[in-house]
Amino acid sequence: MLGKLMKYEFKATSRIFLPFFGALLVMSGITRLFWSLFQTEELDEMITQLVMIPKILSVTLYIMVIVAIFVVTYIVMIQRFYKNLLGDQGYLMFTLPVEPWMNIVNKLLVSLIWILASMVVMMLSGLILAVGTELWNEMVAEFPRIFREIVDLFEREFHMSIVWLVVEWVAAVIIGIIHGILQIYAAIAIGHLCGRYKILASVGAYLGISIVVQTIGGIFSVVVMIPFINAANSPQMLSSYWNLSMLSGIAISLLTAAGCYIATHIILTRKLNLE
Amino acid sequence: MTPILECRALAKVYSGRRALAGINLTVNRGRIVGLLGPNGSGKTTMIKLASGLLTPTSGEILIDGKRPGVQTKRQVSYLPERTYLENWMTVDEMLHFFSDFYDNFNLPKAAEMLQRLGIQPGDRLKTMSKGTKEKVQLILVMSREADLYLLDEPIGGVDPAARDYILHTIISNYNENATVLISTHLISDVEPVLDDVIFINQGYIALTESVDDIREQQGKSVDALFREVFRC
Amino acid sequence: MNWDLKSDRPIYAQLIEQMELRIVAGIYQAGERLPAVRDMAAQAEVNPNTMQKALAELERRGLVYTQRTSGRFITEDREMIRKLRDLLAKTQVEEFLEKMRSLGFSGQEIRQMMEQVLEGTEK
Repeated sequence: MLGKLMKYEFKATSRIFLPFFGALLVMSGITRLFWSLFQTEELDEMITQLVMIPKILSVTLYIMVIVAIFVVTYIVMIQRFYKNLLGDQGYLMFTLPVEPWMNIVNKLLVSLIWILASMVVMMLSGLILAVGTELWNEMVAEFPRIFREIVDLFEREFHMSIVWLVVEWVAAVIIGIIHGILQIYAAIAIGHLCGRYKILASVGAYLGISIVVQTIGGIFSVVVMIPFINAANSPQMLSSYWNLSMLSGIAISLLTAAGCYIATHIILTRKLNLE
Repeated sequence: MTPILECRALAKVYSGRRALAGINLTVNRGRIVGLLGPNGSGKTTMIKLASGLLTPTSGEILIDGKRPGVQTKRQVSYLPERTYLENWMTVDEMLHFFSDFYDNFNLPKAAEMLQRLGIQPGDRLKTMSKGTKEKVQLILVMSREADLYLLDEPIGGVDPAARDYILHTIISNYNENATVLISTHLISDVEPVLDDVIFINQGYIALTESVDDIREQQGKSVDALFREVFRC
Repeated sequence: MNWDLKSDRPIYAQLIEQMELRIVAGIYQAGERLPAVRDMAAQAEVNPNTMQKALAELERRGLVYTQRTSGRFITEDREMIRKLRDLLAKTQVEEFLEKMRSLGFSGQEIRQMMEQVLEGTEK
């Protein structure tokens, strides 16, 4: 059943995301074209200035599409949760023969996948802009050396494996995104309890959760730091400080996400009051 | 046999207001039942509790002997007052949505009923009038072979021709062993199709009786009796 | 012929009367197969259970019979239909007479009035 829910969620959201992704790739293609077509060296001043117009225009548009994707991702995430579960469509979604948790997890997973997909598409558009340029060629040539140096630096100086670092970063990013989404859901659900001032209450709830989480996180990071006050001169100490603060950050994110999920679930099952 | 719907001391309080004040009620299978009461009497609350959209404050509500959950949602076909369909969907997508989630959904039957209304599979919901959307929704709900149909104000605010169509669709499509619970305050319109009536007022059950018994014993229509019971 | 249901009497009783009228008037012919209960109910805009109840009563009176495999039929006993027709007519006449008497007409006057009106309508 979760699979079916996700299938329809993708149907509903891909209508919005895919055109934007398409627009981004097209825009990066156009930008690339303009910048490679009008090589300025051979041209005189007048024309140089003229060809700057399409160049700058295309870059501006490209950046606008990227901003639009960020904005749309947020709007769609909020709208799909608010309208589809707490609006009129909730009458359908909550009377389907599915467990209530599936409705939340469905929205969460689909949002997560779209966010990751936008990252991939943005990288792809970056590649379209860069591949084959001189800068790119230099980078490709230099990359193995730089990479080896970084690996060496971490492994020799700080005694950390690069694999572990990557795993930590990927985990932190994904859990961070999940935490972000669930915090928005919890804020909307809490706001929904508050009769007439739903939107205001949602914003308030979001800020409230953020303040609590950041305060706890701040205190935690100070506590974590105390044993390592003199760590600067010992690479071993530095690496274990690094590990500890990364892991505690992930743990706090995970706990907040769990708390937000539970709050959302309780509100949607026991306190649900569709208008 | 277990009654299809049973309420035991069922109460629901929201935002300090008692919408249902501890009602006891049994509804049997194979009946068309009118849930009748003035606005704000608790009709919608009761239907939302039965559909699993609300949880009771105290007491319990049982569908076929079970508390509302995934299993009862399979057995219950619910028509809310709102249009709950997604505007961007085509009729065909909506039909497949229903048949994907409800294994008792009779897709060919629904498709045929829509066809008869002149609605094409490729039509998008956003191009339809409110009245047409309501008909589409009713067809989807009545095309499920459910055990309990919960219809919340199905004829509220529609013209007489649409009302006839809706009542006609209900009586010619419900599953014979199933029960249909119709909430409304437009009593004279639904009276001929009802077996039984439940009068509900301010969260209390005021009366449960069969339509023929009311007419036989009181010599008046349910509509007339309702006006008497709920005289302001 | 429309199904005309009044609101102050049990619906099934009215359905029985209306079915009798239809049989007598030949809308349903002797031996004719009746539509499915659900369709009849939908046509009359009444509850199928109520229609079922009315048909069961007609069956008990012998005006309708059920063949297990092929459905419900109007009786083939034309004599019975004729008797029902007479009975319904007699009831109508009695009701009419009662109303005329309450207007102060004597038997003789009623007869005269009837003749006059009949002549008027037959011209």
